[in-house]
Amino acid sequence: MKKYFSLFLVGLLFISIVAGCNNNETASSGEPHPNAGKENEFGWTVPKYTLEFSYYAGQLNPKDVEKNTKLLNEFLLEQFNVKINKKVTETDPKERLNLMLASNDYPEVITGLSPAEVEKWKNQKRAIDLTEYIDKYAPTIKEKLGDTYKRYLDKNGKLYGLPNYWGYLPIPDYSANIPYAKWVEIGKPKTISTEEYFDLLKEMQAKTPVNQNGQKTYALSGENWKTGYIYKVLAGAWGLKDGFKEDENGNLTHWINTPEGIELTKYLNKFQVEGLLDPNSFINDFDQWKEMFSNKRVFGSIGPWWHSWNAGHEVWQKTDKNWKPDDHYVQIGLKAPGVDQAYLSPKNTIGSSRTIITDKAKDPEKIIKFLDFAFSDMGNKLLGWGVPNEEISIWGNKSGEWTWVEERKNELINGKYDYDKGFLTGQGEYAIVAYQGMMEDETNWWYDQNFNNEAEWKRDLNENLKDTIFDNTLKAISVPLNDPLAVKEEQINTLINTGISKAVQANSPEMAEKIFIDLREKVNKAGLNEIEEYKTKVYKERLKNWK
Amino acid sequence: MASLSLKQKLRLIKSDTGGDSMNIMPEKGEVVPKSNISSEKKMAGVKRIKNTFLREKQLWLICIPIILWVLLFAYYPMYGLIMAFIDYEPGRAILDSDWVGFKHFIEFFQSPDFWMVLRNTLVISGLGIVFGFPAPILLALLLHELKYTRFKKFVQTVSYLPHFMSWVVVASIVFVTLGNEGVFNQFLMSIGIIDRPVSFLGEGKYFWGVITGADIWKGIGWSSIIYLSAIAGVDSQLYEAGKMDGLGRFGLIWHVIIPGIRPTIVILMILGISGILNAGFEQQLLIGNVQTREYWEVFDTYSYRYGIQLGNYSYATAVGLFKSIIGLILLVGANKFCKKFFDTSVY
Repeated sequence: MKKYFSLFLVGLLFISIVAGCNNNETASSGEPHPNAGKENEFGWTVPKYTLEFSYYAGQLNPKDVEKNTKLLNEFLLEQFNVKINKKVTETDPKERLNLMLASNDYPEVITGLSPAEVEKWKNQKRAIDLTEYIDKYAPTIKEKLGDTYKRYLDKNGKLYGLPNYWGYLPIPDYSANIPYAKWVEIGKPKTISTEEYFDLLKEMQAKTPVNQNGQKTYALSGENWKTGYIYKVLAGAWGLKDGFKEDENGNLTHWINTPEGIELTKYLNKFQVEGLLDPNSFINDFDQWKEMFSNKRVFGSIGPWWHSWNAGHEVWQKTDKNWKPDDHYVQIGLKAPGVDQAYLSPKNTIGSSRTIITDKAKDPEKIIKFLDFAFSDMGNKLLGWGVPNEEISIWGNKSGEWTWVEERKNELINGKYDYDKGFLTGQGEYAIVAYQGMMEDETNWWYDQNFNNEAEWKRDLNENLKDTIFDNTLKAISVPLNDPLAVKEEQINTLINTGISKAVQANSPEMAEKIFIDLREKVNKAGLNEIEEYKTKVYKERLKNWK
Repeated sequence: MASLSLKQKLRLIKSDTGGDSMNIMPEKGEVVPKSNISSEKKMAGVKRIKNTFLREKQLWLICIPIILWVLLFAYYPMYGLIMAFIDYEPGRAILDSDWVGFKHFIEFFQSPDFWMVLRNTLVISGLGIVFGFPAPILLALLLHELKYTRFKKFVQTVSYLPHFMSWVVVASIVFVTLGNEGVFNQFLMSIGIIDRPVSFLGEGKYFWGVITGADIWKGIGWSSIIYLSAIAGVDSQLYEAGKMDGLGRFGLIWHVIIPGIRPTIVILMILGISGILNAGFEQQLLIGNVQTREYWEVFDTYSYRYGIQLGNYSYATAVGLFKSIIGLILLVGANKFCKKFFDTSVY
């Protein structure tokens, strides 16, 4: 008896192991929609049966996504008869996508791919050719992409990836940040020199060496400097574009191979040598830096303008009862001495993110029809701004006319908008083919960037930085993933991020320069010149073919 | 065995297999062909295995799930090692990929990071063996010497706790303790040893010490369990005999306990040396940062970052296979060494 019982247990264990490998995906069917065939108020013709597709959107918190898509999902199902099953992961999307490929388990629509990744999916016949579908079912996509349509085609003239977050939005990204009061004190300049910025921060730190809690303050602190973006921004202050210097023949040189590279490294090192740099600058992630910044332990910041915004007055107005509207940061341009023009915010008008429809799609025709709707201004607004006509909505239909909700608009203008509530309407949750340029009525996808002329702070920001924005579309080049250069590029980026952090934290400018020169030799030996050559080649081809 | 005659060997086989019914002994003067002898030896071997299996069939039945598990999850995936020799792309069939031989190994050996990765792996593991290996033995000996049972149990439980903490939690403790504004820096400044914080986590020269310390702290209690059980297995008569001979507490540890648990120590030492290239993964990624990368990048983190994250599985497999081969060589070497000098081995 014992023997049979043991045998039973063993069998049970085996079955449970095998059962764990089972795929539980099921298809759904539905009843015909009551408004089937009719065009709804957004210009979408409601299909008879529910259009359902799965969609992978990269690395996000699944719980937040579930919470924030609930209302929009209900709305889309009721008004559009469309059901989108958004999938996100908490792990690195590149890693996840490779695992999806390896296991042959991936959704019908995937966004957030680089052009190089699209090529990989295409080569494996996992991404479907959209050319014919677009010709037949997507007039809006063709119309909106216009002349740029050909830029998305492969060498055989086929389209596999649709752009996401594309279009030119003349809103800056990167800047130097200083407190409003100081900005007023020095005469509200649009741009200051790197040296002036250093002196200002040094002066402020000397005046307030500890914060209200008695904690040590720093003139400058880095946030996510470990990723290396700071060097590209600073190189922009020295007149380079997105980390590259271009000569009169269109040859591109990486910033580390330029004299400006040494200068910017020594500039950061100066903060270190004088004890003004937060020692955690190369360790901080955003939350750690936010804690420092919101506790007023940092006076300056060079980076995205929204960081001093999110970590500054957005926190202070909630936590400080005595907070006054002038207690905020201002974003200004930063330019090295002798430089004619600073280039701080590169813009890739064709977008660096692509969306594909995979061979798992049960009904690619219908999906492309929905994406065609998403390309329209109304579709762009709905997916960018969220569900309309709700109490927490940012927009709505008032007497047959689509307008902003005044109350929300004023909150945005006054910097009092509750973003967490807004997210519940699904704002930006289905950024599948988001267009961030100006729509016909002069509005744009980023709902909170639509009132910049009315919001005093945003007006200053845009006014100060508008000349630092530049079109970088032709130089936004990624190395194909199956090219050995892709590994070299990663190795080189890692070497640079480690090496420059050491140079910046050297005890003297001489030592910083020595570390920099050694690093330059090392990365060139590792193949940086090959990457420069590759990018120059592609850039020149684009110059020839894309104009 | 080499000095035994063929007849003697066959006799041994016969007695080994208990084969009374076998009559393979040649008559005096009879010439036995070589092929006959070898096939007879084979048959005898098969029979011996069969008999052993029948004798231990219950044990084998119990082991079936484990054997299946090992075959399924440890041996079956090994076919993937072929990826190291082809240009595999995730999603493509392995057999459709181009054979590239040792290309990925050469790329790895020629990469600017190879020597750094090898050095870090060996140093971090070496420190683990030198300091991390004796630490639980020491703790077990100390715990064994505690006479007050409740206190002993309390200390044991507390020492196990870090084992159950994830590296994320341990990393936060390390940051709170050793960060620029951490407790340790504040303490050193308060007593005037330093006037500005030391970047223990931002300077590479401290990293190996920090990671070894964290590894020891996390694993010391848990690893001491096996030594405690080995100590418990030492014959109590030996203690009494030792005491009779005038040994004190240290004498008993040195002359009774350590020799008593030596086989356990040696076995674990062999396994430790074979895993010398498993220098960690999560701890490096969590405690390390861009400034200290030259001191923490080890084989596993390297193959993860350049192989898995970039989708370059072939490269990752080549790095992993290289690591495994070195580990296997070390295992065989350590095993032989211990067999020769300590008369103990894992096989």
